[in-house]
Formats: sequence, structure tokens, C-alpha cells
Amino acid sequence: MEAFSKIDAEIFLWLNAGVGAVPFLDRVVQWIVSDYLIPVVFSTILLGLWFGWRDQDMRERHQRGVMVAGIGVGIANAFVKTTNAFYFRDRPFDTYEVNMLFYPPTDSSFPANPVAITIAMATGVWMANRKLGAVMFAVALVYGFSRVYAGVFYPGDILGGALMGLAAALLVHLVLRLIEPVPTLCLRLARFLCIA
Amino acid sequence: MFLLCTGVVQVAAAYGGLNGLLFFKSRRLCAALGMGLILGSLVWFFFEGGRNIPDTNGGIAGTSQFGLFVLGGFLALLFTFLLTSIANYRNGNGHTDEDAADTSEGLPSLRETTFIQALLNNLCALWKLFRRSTQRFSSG
Repeated sequence: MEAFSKIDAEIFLWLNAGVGAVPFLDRVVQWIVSDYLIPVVFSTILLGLWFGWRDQDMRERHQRGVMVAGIGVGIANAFVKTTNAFYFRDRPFDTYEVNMLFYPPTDSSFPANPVAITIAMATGVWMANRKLGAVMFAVALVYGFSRVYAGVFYPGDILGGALMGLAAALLVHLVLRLIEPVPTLCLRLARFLCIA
Repeated sequence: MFLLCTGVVQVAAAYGGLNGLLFFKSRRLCAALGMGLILGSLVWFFFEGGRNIPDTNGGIAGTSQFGLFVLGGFLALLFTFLLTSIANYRNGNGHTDEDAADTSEGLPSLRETTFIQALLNNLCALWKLFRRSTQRFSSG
């Protein structure tokens, strides 16, 4: 565990040392790491996927993916909160001299909540649309590692958050399959109300 | 969030051919309006002021953020459903065809009719089904 923490810190310090070298990159990272940009863009993608397909089968597939993503976000959040109740990891700026590009958060560093949520969304979408899901995975990872660069997370926190988000979405996918026909009935009700 | 979600619904409806959800007859115009709303609301939100604010100092916490997105999305949908139902009814785009109502169709029914008309069609079809089944049991 100690060896892992040491490697984690070394990677963090190496990445964070780049801050200030390319001011334009720092500016871009400040945009990416915002609490709002990526989560809001991902949420709008989910909304668009729910409505925007001509083919009925594809639309249903996407709607099931959106269901997994939406519930997955809630479960991922619960995983993170539960972990935080038992384990608190200091932020990198509490221990090291860090070049900050973001405000100093006060909650636990591990696991990275924003990454858990965005990866849960990406996983839900990936189950319905491989290409879009892959793009969202890539963006979620860039989002996560931008936060390492910005000085607020260790790489291990990103990895932990990503695994939790992935596990949450897969769990939801499995549970929805197990409780079938409940999801189908929910979709039918939504269709009756003309919102699916 | 409201403007952003309204824009997303317009783009998605234009792409999905859901004419009953479009503000105008032209799909291209609606897609352009939707893109304008999406970009405009994002630019407005992010250029209005600094957004990297901790939730302990006036920023929005993750859970509240999710709640606000759901609220914005819900209001945007409600606004779109109501406005398009009124506008398309006046434009003559919507038509009521109760006999042809297929309650399992869902969103595709909005290609031909407005949201309120489609919902009323479904409710009528359900009522007819209910009446038929109760008549069957009460007749003998």
C-alpha cells in the first residue's frame, strides 16, 4: 500500500510539475476541470440520446443505455459516499507543494467523485452506442487526469473513481436484466405518456 | 440549464424527425435554433463569471448540480411540449386520429401529431379498451 502511495505521489508530482510551462494548456485545463462543463455536456448527451433517433430499435437501445447511465450515476455516488465514510485521503495540496489550477476542495481525495460519475455515464452510453461511449470514456479520462494536472487528485484517485463508476453502471445493467420485465414496463409507461 | 435542455430537445427532435416537438415547420431552422441555444447558454454560463467556486463558498455541490439539471430538463420538456402543442395545432401540423392511436408507439407518434394530441389519443384508446373489457364482463 505504501509503495502504491509512493508511486501515485511520484506520478502526481511529475504531472503537476508541468503547470506553468504552457500557459495555453493551463487555460484549457482550467476549463476542462470545471465542476460543470463535462458533467453538463454528458448530461445533455443523455438527453439527446433519449429523444434523437429515428429507428425505434436504436431509440429503445439508447433509452435503455440512458437508464443505466442515470441510475449508475446515483449508485456511483452512493459508492463514493460509502467509501468516504470509512476512508479519508488527504488532497495532494495538503501534503506537497502543488501548482493549483483549481480551488482546493475539502472532501476526501479518494475516490474521484467526478470521474466515478462521468465514467458511469460513459459506460451506460457505451452499452448502447460503442462509438459515442468510447469518446465519452476518453473525455472522462481526460477530465480525470486534467484534475491530477490541476493539483486536486492523485492518479490513484482517478483510477479508483473510474473503477467505481464502471462497477456501478455494470451492476445497474445486471440488475435491470435480472428484474426484467420491470425496465420494459417502465419504458412502455413512458411510451404511453409519449416521452419515450 | 433550461435553455440548454430546450436546445438539446430541438436538435434531437429535428434529427429524429419528431415534427410535433419542433417550434417551427423547418427542421433545419429548429436544428439551428437548438444549436444556438446550446452554444449560447454554455457561453453565457461560462463567460458570465468565474465558475471554479467551491461548494463551501457559493458553488453548486454535485448532488444539487444533478438536481438542477433534472429540474432544468423537466421544465424545458414541459415548455417544449406545451409550446409545440399550441403552435403546431394552430399551424395545422397536428391532427387527431383516435382510431389510429397506438399506445405503444411513444415518441414516433410525435412525427405526425403534437404531444398533447398524442397523449389524448393514448388516453382515449386506453379508455376504449377499459370500456370494452368492462362491457364484456358486465354483459353476461
